[in-house]
Amino acid sequence: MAHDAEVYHEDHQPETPALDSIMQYARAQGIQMHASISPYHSLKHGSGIRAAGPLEVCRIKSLSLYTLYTLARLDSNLFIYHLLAVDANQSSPSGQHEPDACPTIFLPDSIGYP
Amino acid sequence: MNLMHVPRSSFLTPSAIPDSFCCSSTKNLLSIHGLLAAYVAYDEAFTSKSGKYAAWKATWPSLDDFRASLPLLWSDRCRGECGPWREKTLELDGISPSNSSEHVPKSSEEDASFSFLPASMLRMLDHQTFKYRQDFHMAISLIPSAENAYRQSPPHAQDSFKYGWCIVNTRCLYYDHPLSPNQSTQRGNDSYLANDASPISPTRAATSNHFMVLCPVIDLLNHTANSTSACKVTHNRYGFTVAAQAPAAAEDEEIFVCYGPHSNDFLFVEYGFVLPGEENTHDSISLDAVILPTINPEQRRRADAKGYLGEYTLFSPAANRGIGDVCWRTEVIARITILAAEQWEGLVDGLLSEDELEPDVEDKANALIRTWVGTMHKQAERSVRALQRIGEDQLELTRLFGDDTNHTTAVSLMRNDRAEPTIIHGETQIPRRRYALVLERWRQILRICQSYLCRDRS
Repeated sequence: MAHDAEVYHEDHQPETPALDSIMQYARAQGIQMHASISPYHSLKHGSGIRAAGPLEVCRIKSLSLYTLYTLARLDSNLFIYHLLAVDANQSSPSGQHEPDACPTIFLPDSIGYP
Repeated sequence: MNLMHVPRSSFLTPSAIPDSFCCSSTKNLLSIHGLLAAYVAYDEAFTSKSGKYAAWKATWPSLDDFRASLPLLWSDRCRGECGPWREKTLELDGISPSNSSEHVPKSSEEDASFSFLPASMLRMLDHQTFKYRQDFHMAISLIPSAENAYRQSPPHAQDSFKYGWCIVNTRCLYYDHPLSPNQSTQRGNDSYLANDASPISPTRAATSNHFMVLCPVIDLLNHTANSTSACKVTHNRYGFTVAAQAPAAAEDEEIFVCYGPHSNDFLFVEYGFVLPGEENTHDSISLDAVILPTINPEQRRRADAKGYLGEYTLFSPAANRGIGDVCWRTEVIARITILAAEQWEGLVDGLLSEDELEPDVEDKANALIRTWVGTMHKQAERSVRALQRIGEDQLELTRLFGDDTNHTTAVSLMRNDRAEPTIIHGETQIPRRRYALVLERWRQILRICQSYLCRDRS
């Protein structure tokens, strides 16, 4: 209907002050976000989160037996967080270690690397 | 790939609410929903522009957004309470949730008018309204700043609480991980385990109130019914983690999570939106309002005794491999009107199989179900037709879908601007948005019924 279009026209507003502020607030709260996502606002959906750049998911291709052995000796939560960190850093189409592709490592501050 | 980690220290939980706002003993008397809502509504951490949570609050929808989308904030007329399908209206105080037989539609022959909202939504809405009013009364009775606000201006205090309550209702998450030993427990419960987290679902509603938390940034994520493309939300003792599951997302593509397998009726009442067209792969409609009036008291008693009274569902084709179909409970209740009492109970108890019954039982049951779906189809058809007529008359649309208090302003604005109908004023936007939501939902109901009836015919 005509007035649907009037009310719901797309109007992305990625750089609103509120969204800038929430990013600062998030950093202050210790919230970790992947570099390739960002909050945005559209009149149609309200606030949301979108990919600021292309995102590709690639699972861990391989871990050396030594790494697995080392991790398995540690506490199970630590093992999981190691996996998350490795996964994050190996998430690239080439499977190579590309820290810039995902600078955030999801390790809780309270644990730290051994 | 992990996209986000939100630490527990950033959550707004009851224990994060200072005693200066509400002491521990009072917290125990309030629902978590009501307590969080009151804090959002009345504490300067949220109400002041320089408050602790001001940056977070700035990303939230406005009260007008909620007024436009959540039926809880619509006028009684708009909610259909004055319509012919509503036999009772809710009282402002001391109401109780209605039972499923309250919203009984009249047949199309006896009544040519229509309902704004489907009966199934009205039932959910009654329950929601009951919870909201209970929380509000508790808040203004027990929390000093709420009490003060109400003393100064009851309408303003109520609007503030409505806003806080809707914020919690639409944005809370479910967090039931045990607290770490060095932190105080919430309300004396400290041993919960769960493997996943999602915005609250109806099945959890009864027990999850205790686990409601507000969580910054993660609350920006919108809903999709597509479980393959939805990000996975998990939680542990450190907080929430959001991980992408889909193989790729293009630049500017929105990232979603799934709030749960919800029908559009549920999404409409709880969150104020419906997924468009046939996008919702969990959509269904309730047939209770057309089936229950056709069952006599004796059959009703027997159905109740066996746990088959109510919750009759017609699935959207999108939710059922492209085929519109009814649930097992509907199949069973159709047979109660066809079979002798002993036969029906034998069937329900598994002592008798369908093969042992007369050969025409299935055909008779299908014909009956078809009649029920046909009745729902007529109601949907009548509503869509009436709404389309209303859509052609902006004044009528604003009158019917506007709020009583703002109605005069809205209408006068529209009269002044009739020469330029494309100009949208604040007060006319809200009725239009309500109208668009209601029309979309009735169109979906019509399509779901049509799909079943066409399938049955072929």
